[in-house]
Amino acid sequence: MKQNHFKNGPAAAAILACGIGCAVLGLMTFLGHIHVGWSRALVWWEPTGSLLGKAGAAIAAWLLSWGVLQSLWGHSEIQRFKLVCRLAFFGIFLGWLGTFPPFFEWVGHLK
Amino acid sequence: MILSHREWWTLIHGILLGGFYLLSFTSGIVGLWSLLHGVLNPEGLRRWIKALKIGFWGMSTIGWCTVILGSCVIYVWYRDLDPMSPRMRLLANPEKVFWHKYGMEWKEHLAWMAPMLTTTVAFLVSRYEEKLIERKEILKIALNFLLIAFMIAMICGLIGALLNKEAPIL
Repeated sequence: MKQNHFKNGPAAAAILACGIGCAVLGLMTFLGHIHVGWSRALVWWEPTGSLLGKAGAAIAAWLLSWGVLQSLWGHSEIQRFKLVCRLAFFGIFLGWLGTFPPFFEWVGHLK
Repeated sequence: MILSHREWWTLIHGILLGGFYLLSFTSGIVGLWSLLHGVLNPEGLRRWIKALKIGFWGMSTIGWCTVILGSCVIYVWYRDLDPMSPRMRLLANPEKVFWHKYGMEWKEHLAWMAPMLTTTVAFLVSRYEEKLIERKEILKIALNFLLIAFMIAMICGLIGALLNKEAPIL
């Protein structure tokens, strides 16, 4: 039990899941701005427009991926921990980029 | 000075919850930095970890409350179709459209990343406790996540304050 507690698997699962959640938030925001159909599909509650749909999808992806990764890695020592962390930071970067208005405006102009 | 109920809720969102959330980052960053540089004795460490666990879970709860209140209450008033709503006032003025298109559009989405990051940090501290000192790679990631969340919270707080100056919720 003590040994399991020390392994880096649970940390890797939480870190990567956070990156996935942020990336999904960026992706949903980006798609919602460049595609009207996506935006409409994300309107879960009319008064907030598509905002709650984007955030809700990101939170669902975050928690779901955390649960799946935890069940896979929860009792293991992840050898490629650095790679997992890099992927998580990349996910956070995607989240930042996808929510950045000049970026999706720029992509919109290219269409 | 008399505030409307909308101004009170905006105050609770921006100053009370948002302000406390921003302030709590300083103690969180110092807390993790102290673990990273091993400046605590074993008894101090045990107490420090306990305080950090309570602090990070409290901080995450406040972060979630801030974004949920902001998105489900304040934002609803902001984007109201009434011509006097902040969004309508900004869109009606070509010199202020920028604040909606780049300010609010960014803030309303980006803000959701901060509580996800702080919750992850709270989990890491609770799960590994004193062992974080031996697993420096995990501790460094927690500190980095906290710094990113702090940056996001600062950006959102700053945009929120400036937006409220340009087009306050009345």
